[in-house]
Amino acid sequence: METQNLLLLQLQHEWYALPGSAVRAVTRWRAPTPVPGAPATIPGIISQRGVVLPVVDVRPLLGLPDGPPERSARYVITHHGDVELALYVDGIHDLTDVPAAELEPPPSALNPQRLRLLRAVTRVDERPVALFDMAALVAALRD
Amino acid sequence: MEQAAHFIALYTERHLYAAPRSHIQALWMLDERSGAAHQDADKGIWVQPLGPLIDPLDVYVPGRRQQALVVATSAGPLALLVRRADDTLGYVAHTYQPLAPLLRERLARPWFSGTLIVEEQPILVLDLLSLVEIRRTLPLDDMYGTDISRHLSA
Repeated sequence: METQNLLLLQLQHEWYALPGSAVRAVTRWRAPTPVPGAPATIPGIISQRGVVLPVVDVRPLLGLPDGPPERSARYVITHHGDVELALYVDGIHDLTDVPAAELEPPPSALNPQRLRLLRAVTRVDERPVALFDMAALVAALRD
Repeated sequence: MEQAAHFIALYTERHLYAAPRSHIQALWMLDERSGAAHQDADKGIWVQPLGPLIDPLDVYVPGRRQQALVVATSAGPLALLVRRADDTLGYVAHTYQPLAPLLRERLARPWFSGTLIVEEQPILVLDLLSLVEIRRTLPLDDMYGTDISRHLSA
């Protein structure tokens, strides 16, 4: 049975996932160095093992409210092609294998802004989980 | 160029930046309480706080001891005020990295050329020469609307 390895993460109270193959590391949140003039989706930069990475906050793209980071906040160091970034998340849940047959196209009734960023939806432990499309995410950050 | 450069740390009210030392012609102490430069300064040099040029939230606090970075522009020198300039960053020049393209493409202005890492924290490196040239071509109202320029009297 074909499966897709996913990192389950939380943004506000919603569950999302990244392809496991796109994830390099997960690290604790620390205050980024702010970058004046950068968009709200790229609020700053951090150093991860000597490499300076842009911090990405996708909550504005999803229409989610932002808020101060809690103890569960993390950065997911992820990449797409030659783009490497530190994705802010409110929490990390698990790395899990999901049968490919259980990944469904996102419902077309979703907000188009949100729909654009998603590759699939599924359920894990009865919770709805939306799988990010990394190419679409990077493209949206460049818009 | 910056990889081999000597860097200077610039503290504004809100941020810590770095800049190549080669971008700075002179570094003056300035005591605004007395309204006098600590070194002889030519009359007619424009003085501009650095912080609000880059970040409108980086509010200039007049009446405090400042340092002035004299930077050459095509129209003559400009003195940029900072809270403190610290000439001790040369040793971290090897940590210089250009900005990630994803970030560089989205910046409102091309004033950050890269980063240095100091105590595991990235510091933004300013291209002061670009900053003062671009700044010179913009009306003050386009630059956060605060005309805080004035002539420095020696």
